Amino acid sequence: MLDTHLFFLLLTILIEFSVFFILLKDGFYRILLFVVLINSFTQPIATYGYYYLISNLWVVEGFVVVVETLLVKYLFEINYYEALKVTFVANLITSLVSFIFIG
Amino acid sequence: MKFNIIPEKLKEITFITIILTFLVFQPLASADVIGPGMKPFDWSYEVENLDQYPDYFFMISEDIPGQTGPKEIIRNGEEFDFYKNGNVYIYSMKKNEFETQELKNKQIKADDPRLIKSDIKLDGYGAIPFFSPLKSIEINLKIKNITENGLNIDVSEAKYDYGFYTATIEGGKNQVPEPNPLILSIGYITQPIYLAGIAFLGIIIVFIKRYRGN
Repeated sequence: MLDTHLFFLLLTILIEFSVFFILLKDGFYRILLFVVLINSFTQPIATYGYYYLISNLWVVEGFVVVVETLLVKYLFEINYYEALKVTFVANLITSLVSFIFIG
Repeated sequence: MKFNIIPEKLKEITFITIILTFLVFQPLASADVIGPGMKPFDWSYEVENLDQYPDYFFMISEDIPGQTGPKEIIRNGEEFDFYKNGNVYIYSMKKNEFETQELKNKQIKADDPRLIKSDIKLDGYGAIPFFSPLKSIEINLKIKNITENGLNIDVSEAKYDYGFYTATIEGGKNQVPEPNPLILSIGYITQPIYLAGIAFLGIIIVFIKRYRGN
């Protein structure tokens, strides 16, 4: 079985990549690179934050959405509204999937 | 129109869907006895100085009076584990009072007077929280002495493996030492911090390259 962190990171990357790929008009590898970078940065910190700082999943997800929106905006060079929309949809799906796994 | 699926992308989407489906259903195969939000992990015990007592056999068994006693011999330097909910003790028995056939035939009861029971009860481990960074626990035991009435065993150390970081905690008493919050915290942070740091560096490189390119 895959390492738990690695499994959830890969799952998140795949989900978010799919969402970004569908919603953004951008290159396959460019989206993949940015999604990998963004999630590799935010997810480990969010996981640590959830267990040691704020044990409220929605608050942590809120912070993740804010940070990811900024990263998405500047990496993909799109406007704030579009960045927020894509990030929100991607994180909503990953949150729902995480509920399936960890209850 | 920005929010459209481009037909050429359908092939890639199918590929992603297949991988996603595999990842989603992959952990369910081992989820039959593990509760939600939990995961199994590796744990084992080892007695490090059995060779100092060549006149004895050592066995592990659940302590249920009248029921079947030791079924499994433990050997020097060999790791062992048992069912997680077991009420398990180590037993010793003088070699000259013991016949292997008795063990094979399950003739030794837990309250057999020839058995010398350990003063330490071994705890089994079940599941841990899903996101716990703990990979495994190795508990090393050391026999202090054997008398007619008792087998005195100490926990010499417990190794908590967090992947990138292993915490070795000295024992000394007949109780398994637990990691303090600082060690646990290091266990957590050593895993994500490397990845988050590398990713952050990657993002900075992207921005620098873009800035220079312009």
